[in-house]
Amino acid sequence: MKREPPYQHGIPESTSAPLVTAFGVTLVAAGLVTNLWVMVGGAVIALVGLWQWFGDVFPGERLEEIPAPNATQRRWDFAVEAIQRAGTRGIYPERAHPWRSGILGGIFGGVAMAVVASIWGLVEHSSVWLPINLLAGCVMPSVGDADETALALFNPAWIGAACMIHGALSVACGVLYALALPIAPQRPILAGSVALPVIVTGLVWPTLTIVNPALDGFISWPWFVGSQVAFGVVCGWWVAGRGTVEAHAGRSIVDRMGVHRGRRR
Amino acid sequence: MTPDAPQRPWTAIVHEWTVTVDHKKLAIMYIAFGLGFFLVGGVEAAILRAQLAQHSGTLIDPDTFNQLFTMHGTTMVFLVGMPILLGFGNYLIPLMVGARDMAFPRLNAFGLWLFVFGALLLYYSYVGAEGLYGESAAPDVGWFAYAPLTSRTFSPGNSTDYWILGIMVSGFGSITTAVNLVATILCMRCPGMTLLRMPLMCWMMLVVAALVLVAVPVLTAAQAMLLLDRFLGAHFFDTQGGGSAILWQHVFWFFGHPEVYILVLPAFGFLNEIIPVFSRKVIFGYALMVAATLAIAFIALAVWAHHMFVVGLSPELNSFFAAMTFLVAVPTGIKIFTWLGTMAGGRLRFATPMLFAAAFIGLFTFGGLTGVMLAVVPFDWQLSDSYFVVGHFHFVLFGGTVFGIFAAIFYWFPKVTGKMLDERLGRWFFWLLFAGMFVTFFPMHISGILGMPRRIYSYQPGRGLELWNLITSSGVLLQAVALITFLWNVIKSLGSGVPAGDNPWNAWTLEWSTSSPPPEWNFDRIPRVSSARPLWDAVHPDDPDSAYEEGA
Amino acid sequence: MSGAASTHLPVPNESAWRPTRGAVGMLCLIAAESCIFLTFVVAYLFYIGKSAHGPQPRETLELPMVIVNSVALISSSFTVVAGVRALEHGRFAAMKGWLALTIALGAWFVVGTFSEWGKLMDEHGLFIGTNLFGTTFYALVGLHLLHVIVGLVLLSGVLACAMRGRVAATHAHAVDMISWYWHFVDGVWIIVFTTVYVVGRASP
Ligand SMILES: [Cu+2]
Repeated sequence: MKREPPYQHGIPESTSAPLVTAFGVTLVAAGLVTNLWVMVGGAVIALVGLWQWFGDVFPGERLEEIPAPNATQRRWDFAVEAIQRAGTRGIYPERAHPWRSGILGGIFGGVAMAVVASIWGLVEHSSVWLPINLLAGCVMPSVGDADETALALFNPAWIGAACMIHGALSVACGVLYALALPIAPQRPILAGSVALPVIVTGLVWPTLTIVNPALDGFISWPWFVGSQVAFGVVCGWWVAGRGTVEAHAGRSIVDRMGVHRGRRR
Repeated sequence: MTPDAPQRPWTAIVHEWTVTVDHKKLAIMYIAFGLGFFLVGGVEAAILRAQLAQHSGTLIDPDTFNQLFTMHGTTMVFLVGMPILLGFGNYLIPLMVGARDMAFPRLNAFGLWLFVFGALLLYYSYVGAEGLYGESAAPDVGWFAYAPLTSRTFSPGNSTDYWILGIMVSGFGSITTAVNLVATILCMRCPGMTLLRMPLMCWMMLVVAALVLVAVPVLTAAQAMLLLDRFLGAHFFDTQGGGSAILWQHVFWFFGHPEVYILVLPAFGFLNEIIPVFSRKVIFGYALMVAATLAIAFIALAVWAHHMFVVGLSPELNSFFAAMTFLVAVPTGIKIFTWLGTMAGGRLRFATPMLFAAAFIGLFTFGGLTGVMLAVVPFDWQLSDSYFVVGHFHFVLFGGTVFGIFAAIFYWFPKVTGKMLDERLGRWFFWLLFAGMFVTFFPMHISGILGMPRRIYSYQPGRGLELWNLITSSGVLLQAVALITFLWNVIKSLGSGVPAGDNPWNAWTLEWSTSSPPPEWNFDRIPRVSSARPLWDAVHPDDPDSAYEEGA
Repeated sequence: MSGAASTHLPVPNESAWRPTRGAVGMLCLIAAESCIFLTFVVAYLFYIGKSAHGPQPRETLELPMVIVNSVALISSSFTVVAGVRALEHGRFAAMKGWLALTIALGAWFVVGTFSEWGKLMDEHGLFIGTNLFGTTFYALVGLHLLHVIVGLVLLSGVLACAMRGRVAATHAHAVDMISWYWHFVDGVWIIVFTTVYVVGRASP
């Protein structure tokens, strides 16, 4: 179906058909709240409009010719001058980390974070499952009603929910890392492993009671910060170590993903 | 608009505009129509606020109050936000993708006239309708028209039918326009304009059009059911006959929440054009912005019941919808950071469009955060249907949508008319409106927390509400002064504004490559592009963007 | 890399994906219509078994007649395709025949539905206001019927033009779009049929 797009050589002629049809349609609606004759009149007007409309497009669309372009062409002349004055390429940052390293960094960071959290569970509550179950409390109200023994046990539904939350958040944070690292000041890993945990803890602290009351009852803030730092260090280290690609408007998604190994620097 | 206009009789001009199928003329009518109703809806709000400025107000009677807040809400959403935003889409999309018109020009005109006649039908209720208290009654059931208040029993007469029919007709208008936008964006792109080279505004409008196609028909269907109830005695929402009032809420908000994004995504689109140009930088994270927009659109379809926490749905449902609502904050946050990332390190220039864009970021973020607060179920139980909610959505829709619209008006006015708007008046307008909006809508949060329900016509003294209501009402005056400044600016600039030239802001997208105003056929020659910044490439053949593209 | 590209402007990518506006417009219309139907289907499902009194689906809806109607409607999707094919190849007489057959099958469906409604009203006293079943049944089936009638009007318009010899092979794309609409109407019927006659009758 290779066709030329419409209106290459002409633009559509003016017509009152749409106006007439719309007026008729509205009168049909208005007939419901006034009287039947308004509706009948509206229907007649709408039909007249449609008939006229049909005439505008059949057997072929009615077009108006476009006047030939001026002999003295003013193609973009003014624009050219104006932009030259503006100067800069306007790309910043020039290079960015590919999304691929962000996604992978997020996954590795998420694993590191989970390891720290599980150690906390083992050390303080002698259960690996407890931290995972608590995370599920973000979306599953039943967690809030459970007692500590239930929370320390393996629960497939809770584990599934927790893994989904943790996975999604880790990948999202990893991508954010890949985006933000080039505009962070000199030491990206330091910024990522300290600044981010501080921000996240600051956000979570006041809101946790509301979002996840179950977790709020158990949480140990030093360990919490520790797990965030683990994420930040691993993710930042991975992303920073993978190199960058050209961050340019117009590059393809594949390019920006960073799957072309040859392109890295 | 043309130089020979004064010599032609006014009837010829009117005729030209009524029969036109040119997307630019239609868009100008869309926007003028929307701005006209913006004034109407504003006057309605001003009367409401005058009534509430002091306790035990007696300016208007309760029934008039109900009619006014119904018409205010309905007008602002359906007759102001939709036509103005779709109007901008109409004007800009063909120019941005390098086309000579929309895909279906006649359908485009049809959509505009449906909007106009639908609005006239709705407002005719002030003359012709009959309500609970007799003749000349506008609809008074609120903009979301909850059942069973809308049943024949509680809403006798036909004022509610005017609401249904007026919105239905203008709803058809928005559906036809959405069809047109999708077809234009997908089919009318000039050679070389791949999807990922389109200006981000086109992506925003594509997603908005898709949301319109999914959400508005659902409202139309619900309104059709309501008509069947009211005229043929069906029982869809008739609680006496076994019908469910909750079904209306579900269906209405399935439309209602995406509608919020329909109203705000085009404003995101304006920012995506304005911020890079006034930062002299390429947008930071183009593909990410597209992805975040798609994510918002999908999530927005599954959050509607956060408007219904006080209904008493099951805890599981409440948690699900709360969680989904929190989730919307993620792509929305990505957008905010994308704009900040674009501004970071740029050479910022705060002309009026950029002032509005920057204010948008702050105000919208604030409104978004109160929205996240309201998504917390117990919090919502406390503050649902209070002035806190009113404050929240006015920050989103006024601080967001309206500020975005004014940013767009100041940015594209030179292209549409060939004249610049006055910068000094523009600054006055911005600061007055900014102050007015803050004074009006910020205290609403406080009066809401103090326990003031929305839609009450009066309140008693001694409950701590007097001061906050007085402040809110006085903000209206600031806004009124601001709008007068704006109107004066428009009139003055149309007459004696500085000629704009083709590209007054040194922008990079195709609409700035043609004359201001553009000829009826938009481009003397169909452009060809090889990157997202065609005007950059044209000027820098030695260092074009296209050289950096895949396979270049 | 940027140095190497300094002298040439790449040729614009001419093979960019660009569907026809008719196809996109029709698909958008179909999407919007689907949402309208979906709302009515959801309402139907929501109210199944909630009619406290009056006729119930299982005792009133009869399958034999509606199955014959459905077969007529579904087969009209095939005849309309044959009509479009004939037009594409310039076989006008065949096209007129196929179109006429399509219209006849569609009209059969309309008449069949009306006679079913007549029976429901006369024998079972089921009206739109009788109970929730009546409300949702007539609304959903009626909405579909309305679309069948619109489709018939469109097809009849094409046939009328063809009879006067004004349809050319260049119009094949436009007629094809009308046939898409007709397929949509048929497809929706399968969903409506399943909702009303299968799910609706199965539940007590
Ligand atoms: Cu919402």
